[in-house]
Amino acid sequence: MPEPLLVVKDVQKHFGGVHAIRGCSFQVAGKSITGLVGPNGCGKTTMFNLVTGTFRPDSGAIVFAGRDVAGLRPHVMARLGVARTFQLTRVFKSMSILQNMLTVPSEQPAGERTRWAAEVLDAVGLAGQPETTAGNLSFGDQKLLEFARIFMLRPKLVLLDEIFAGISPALQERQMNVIRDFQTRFGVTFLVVDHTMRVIMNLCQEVLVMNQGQILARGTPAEVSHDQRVIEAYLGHRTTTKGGDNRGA
Amino acid sequence: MKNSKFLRLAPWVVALVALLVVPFTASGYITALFLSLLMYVTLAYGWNIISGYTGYVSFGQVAFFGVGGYTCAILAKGGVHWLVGSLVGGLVAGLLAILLGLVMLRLKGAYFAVGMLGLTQLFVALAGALKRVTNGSTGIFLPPSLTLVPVYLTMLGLALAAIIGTIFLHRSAFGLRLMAIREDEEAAESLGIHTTVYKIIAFSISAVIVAIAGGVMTWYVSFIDPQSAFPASLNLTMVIMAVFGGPGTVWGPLVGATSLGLIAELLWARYPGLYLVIYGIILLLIILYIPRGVVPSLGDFLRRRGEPVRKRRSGAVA
Repeated sequence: MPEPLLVVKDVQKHFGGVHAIRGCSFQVAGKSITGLVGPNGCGKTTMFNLVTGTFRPDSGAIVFAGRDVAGLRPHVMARLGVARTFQLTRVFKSMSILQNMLTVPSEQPAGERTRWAAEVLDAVGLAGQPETTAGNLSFGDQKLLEFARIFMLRPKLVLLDEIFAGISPALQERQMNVIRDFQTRFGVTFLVVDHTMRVIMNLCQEVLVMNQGQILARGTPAEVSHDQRVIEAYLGHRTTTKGGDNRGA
Repeated sequence: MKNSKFLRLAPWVVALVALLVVPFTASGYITALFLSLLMYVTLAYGWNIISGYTGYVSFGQVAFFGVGGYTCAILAKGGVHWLVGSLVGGLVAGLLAILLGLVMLRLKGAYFAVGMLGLTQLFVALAGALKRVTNGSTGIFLPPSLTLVPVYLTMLGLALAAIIGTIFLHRSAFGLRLMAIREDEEAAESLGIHTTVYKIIAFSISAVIVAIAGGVMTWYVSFIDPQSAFPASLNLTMVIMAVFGGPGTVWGPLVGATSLGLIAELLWARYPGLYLVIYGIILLLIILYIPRGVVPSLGDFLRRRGEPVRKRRSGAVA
């Protein structure tokens, strides 16, 4: 069993009267690609915001690389090696592709950073015109740029929030290849939130299923997709009475 | 190659030499006009750093103009040279901006803009109330400066420093990160940028530039009171000039401040009764038709015209 890079233990988070995360616990193995799935509103993005420091948990522990990081600010988490993408694309629109990449702070000398930026852009297929203004790129290319940009942090853990949504299967394929490539070459760990089951099934070694602010099930993609609880969480209970309970559908 | 570089720099050198000889050769009126243009340029560049690059649009940078003015006046009254007084004024404003920034820069968008406007009013009230230091609404009288030349040259130096500083800022990693904050602060922070620190530094640099200009102008006018220290019209003028030229660009504030400054002066001289009306109409037209400012729009226009040339050139390189 590989050492866990991220350990989330009994985390709680309220927003006013809404109990968004209800004692959530899970682990992400180092150098793995782990999926995080669940019905809309189950708390996946909130969990991302907790791990990356956007929100502070009400209680519970978040341990990254052996260090309790609960409540650290986002820029500190980024410097520690936790990078994320956003559900709605957030490139710096008036800046060029290359400027987007070079904005990210790092201790590396400028030449090395530029070389690394070129390598990452090449990997995602955006190497052609580094001077293009990001706002002029297509939706798919903006997603690729945001995805590429986080690697400027040389991250250890990457949280991807629906990067496969709304882009073509060809682009999805390319992103999957980049993820696998960075996993094997640089030992980057990925936690992937997505609704595209084809991607989750193909890409992830382990899948965590969330429902109503808790982890409902975990296992290989094949295991969880046959788990009765998971099916119920997505589709509702199998019932013989008319007008059965369809919550969570 | 060397030749073309020389040709590119030549107009700048000519302009600089012309600006240097103005106070020695031109009439007092022309020199005073150029002095006010240089002040507008300086203020527009100061505003551009926090509002153009960082995206925190301030309607109250004039607060620092007054802080610089009062510091200079109080020190000059005590026998300190006005130039030293102005520089100390810049320092005081810079430090004050760090403290104020910790509070004010938590506000975003319209809240920050209006908050800064409120802060200026607070400074006006304070300047009136702290009679022991500021002599209240009576104001502080300084010995009249007999020659314009040193004031003019100081303002020229300050404007040049602001322009050259902006050229470097625009190319620097620091400048990139300010722009990233403007574009999307949350994304910038998620990429490891300590946004609070960057914003406060930008705010402070802006305050220093504006405050030194305030100190120099106070010496030039030889008088300061709460109304002249924090002129509401100037607050708006620096915003309009920078926005007209193109906020967040290197040359926008220069183009905006000189062109609008000259237009205002010419209109005022010709149509003293109607000048504000005409000025207002010009501004409306500009905002309607080139909302991003002159410099970016002109850049786009030239690029579109030069497209074939550029394509050929980049094709040859690739």
